This record gives sequence, C-alpha cells and structure tokens, in this order.
Amino acid sequence: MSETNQELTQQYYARTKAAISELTSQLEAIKSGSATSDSIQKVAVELAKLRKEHTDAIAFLPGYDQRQVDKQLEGLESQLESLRTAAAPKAKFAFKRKATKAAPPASTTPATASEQSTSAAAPPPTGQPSAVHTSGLSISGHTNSYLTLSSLSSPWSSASDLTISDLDNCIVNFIPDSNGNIPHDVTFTALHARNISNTVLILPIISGSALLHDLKNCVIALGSRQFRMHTSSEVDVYISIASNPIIEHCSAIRFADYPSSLRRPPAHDSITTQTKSNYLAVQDFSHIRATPSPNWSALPEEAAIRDDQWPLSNSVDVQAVLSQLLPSRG
Amino acid sequence: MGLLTIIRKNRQKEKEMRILFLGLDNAGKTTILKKLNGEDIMGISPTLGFNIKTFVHGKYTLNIWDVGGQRTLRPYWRNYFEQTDALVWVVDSGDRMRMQDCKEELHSLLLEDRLAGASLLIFANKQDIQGSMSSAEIRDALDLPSIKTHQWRILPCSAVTGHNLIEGLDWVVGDVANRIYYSSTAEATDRWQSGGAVEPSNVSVEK
Repeated sequence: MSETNQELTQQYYARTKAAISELTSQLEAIKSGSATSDSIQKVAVELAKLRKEHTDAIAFLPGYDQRQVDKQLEGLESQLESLRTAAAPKAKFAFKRKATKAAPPASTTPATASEQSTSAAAPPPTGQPSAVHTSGLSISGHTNSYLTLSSLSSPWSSASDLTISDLDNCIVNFIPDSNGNIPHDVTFTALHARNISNTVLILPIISGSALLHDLKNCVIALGSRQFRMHTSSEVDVYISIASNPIIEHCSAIRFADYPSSLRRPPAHDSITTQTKSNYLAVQDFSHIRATPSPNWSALPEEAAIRDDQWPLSNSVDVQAVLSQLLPSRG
Repeated sequence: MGLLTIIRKNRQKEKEMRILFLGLDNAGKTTILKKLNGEDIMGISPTLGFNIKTFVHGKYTLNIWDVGGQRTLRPYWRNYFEQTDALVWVVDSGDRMRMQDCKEELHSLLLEDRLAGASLLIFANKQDIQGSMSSAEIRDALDLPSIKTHQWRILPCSAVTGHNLIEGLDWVVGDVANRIYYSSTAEATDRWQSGGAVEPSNVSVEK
C-alpha cells in the first residue's frame, strides 16, 4: 500500500463530494422537469454505486466523514424514493401487494384504525378471520364493568397468553385469590393489550412480556419481564420489572413501583423473587437523546394510589373508584 | 462476472455469513440470539439500536445483526441490508393483533434490492406460550406462499426453551452455503433435504 489512509480519505471525500453534488443537481432537474423512469433509474444506479463505494470506504474513513456522507446519501436516497413512487407505481410487486391486500377486505382497515373500537369490538383486528382467539385467554369489549378472572373468555390453564382489548370505564382485577373461587395457580406468560380507556387494570406479575397499544387515561399495575407501551397517553404505570420499560409515541405517562399489597407469595413464579425493580429506568424510543424525555415522569408519592386504595373487591362503585383513581379525573 | 467470481472466492476464504435478524418489537429476536449463545435471557431490555453476535456454526463464522424492531427504529433497518446473506424474520406467535402489520413489514422488506437473493427464515417464536398461533396459521397470515423471490422456510420455535433454534440456524447456513459456497457444501445439503428446492447455482467457483 503506497497510499496512507489520509490520502485515501481525501481522495475519497473529494470524489464523493463531487458525485453527490452532481446527483443532487440531477435530482433537482428531475423534480422540476418530468420524471421519466429512465432518468430516475440512471440516478438510482449512480447512487447505488456511491453507496457501495461508501461502504467500502468505511474501513479507512474517519467517523465524522462517514456520518456526513451517510447523511447526504440517505437524503438523496429518500428523495429518489419519493420521486420513484411519484413517477411510476412500482412494477410487478406493487400489483402483488395490492392484490393480497384487497383479497380479505375486512382485514386491513381495522388493523390500521385501531381506535375505531366500536366497529371492531367483537373480533380483534387481524388478518385472520377464522383462527382469532381460538385459544389463549382474552377479555374484550366491556364498558362500565368490574372484571375478574371469572370474566375471561375461556377456562384458564396453568400458563397462557392474555389479551385485553376494547375496554372503557372498567376495573380489571386479575389478582388471583382476591376472590374465594379463583384458582391460585393461574399464571400468564404474556400480555397483549390494546385500545383501553378510562380503566384501572390490576394485573399480577407475569413471567413474560407485556405489549400495550392505545391506552388512554388508565392506571395499570403489572409485573413483567419486558414492558412496551405504544401510542398511549395519560397512563399511570405501577410496574415490577427487571429490564427497562419502554414507551414509544406516548405522552403523560407516569411510573411507580408495583404496590407491595398486590404481590402474592411466589408460587412457582420465579420472577416474583427477583431482587429490584427497574420501574424508573424507562426508555422513550420517541426521544432518543441525552435530555430527559418529556413524555414520562416518576409518579409523585402523594399522587400515587395508596396500598389500601386499590379496588380489589368487586362490590365497589366502579364510577366512583374510577373518578378517584384515574390520572385525568372528572 | 469477473467481479462476482472474485467476491465468491474472497468469501470462500473467509467462510463468513452475514445474517440479519428483524421482526416487530416484542418478537424475541434478542432473546433467541442470547439463548443460542448460552446467555441469560431473563433481564433483556427492548433493543435500542442493535446488537452484533458472532458465532462459529459448523465451519462457518456467522455475523448476526439483531436490530431493534420498535416502530421508531424500523426506518433504520435499511442501514443494515448491505451484503446480507440471510434474513431471519422473527414473529411473536401470540401477537394476533399485529399479524397484518407483521405481514406488511415483511413483504415490504422483500422488495428491497439489497436483500434480493437472501435466504429467508421465519421463526414462529413463543410456541411455549399456550394460545400462540401455529406455524401453519402464521404461514397463511403472513401470506408466505406468495413469496417467490426468496428461498423461505418457517419453523415453530421457542427462545425460552430453545426448541428448534439450532435447527433454524442449520437451515439458514445450509441454504446460504448452497448459494455462495456451492462447491463445498456437500454435508450441509445432506442435512437439509427438506429445505425446499434448492436451485443449483450455475456459477462455478474456482478453488
């Protein structure tokens, strides 16, 4: 090797800079003029070449230059992509995808519009008309109710997936043995929750992961191995967790530790014996910066639900309890 | 052609494969990898960014890239496509509510030029949980039979118990080896008669 890294870098940088400005002007020309698929194709090929060259250059390129070029290339690629889609509807594959989408007409719409709970109350939004919830535990489509384990759709087994969806103005209490007739050994291994509003969810410590979508003005108490909450707002989360809870596209979320009054003596559930809870190690995927996320905070002690306030008995007045406990009262 | 031959020769020397693990968040990508690597799987946090694992599997070195699946991270997946030999798509078999989302993400990946030709393994994960969809149900929900552009296979598995994880890796390695290291994969093919029709590559590799 006769050339040093520095020389290589300089050469590469000069060459790439020229190429990028050339491509930028070509893209501009295409944008202002007529976008033929030929001209776009030409730019695409050039861009792919650049990208390849850039990848090869990573070995000797300093980090700063890498990022700069990467950013520019990405910008160009996204411009090109938008031009491409604008100019010509994609050839063969686009047709295929549309066709498959059109085939089960009922499936796509509810999946994207999960807020429309009223219309999709019965079957959860899936592309699976027949096999939906054939097994696994689920509770769905209730308002103004106090729900316990006995409200579940199917008889429970020792370990199962739990799905909770489409609830409004409810109290859900799935803590075992709070009621005389509930088997003590019920355990859940995963939780999926979607589209729940104005509801208090009191759940036990589960051994798997929890995935929640579209919660609004709720209180949830839960223990899990992983916790992910998406597109939710105004939720107070009381959680026992060993990993980092994460939120994405959320706002006004408050975190507190899982209430000790809800803990049950560990049966065969290993996770209850874990040492410490990470309830404040929240990561906000919508705010990946060094600054604190504006979307969540620690729940101040004076605002937290006291141990004796949890509505563990089904004789309570649901509306009264909700207006007292929910984050946004009234 | 000349370039292809050089690339092939070069890779044959290295015996390396680059495998990309993708899938929606909560699918269990990181857990699968940790389990394969014999690490503790209890305290895994959702992946912010990516992990790289390097294993030696048989006579190949696998560089496995595990990229976070949160919605905000998905736009970054494309940064990892370059030179991918195989794509492993991990599915949370209990997540009925997002199967449509899962299908759309998978099919849009398959349109990517830079993933063209990559082998595709679908892991129907979390089979240990009662109430999970079977691999046949997931095959239909994801419309896998419509995939003609990639060699694919679906395997039910469980990251918690370890069921079928090695088998999946075996298939991926065998399938990639068949394409890239065509001349040196006798035993890999023997192991995987069932892996679907493997088209012989018509580019010969000079030793």
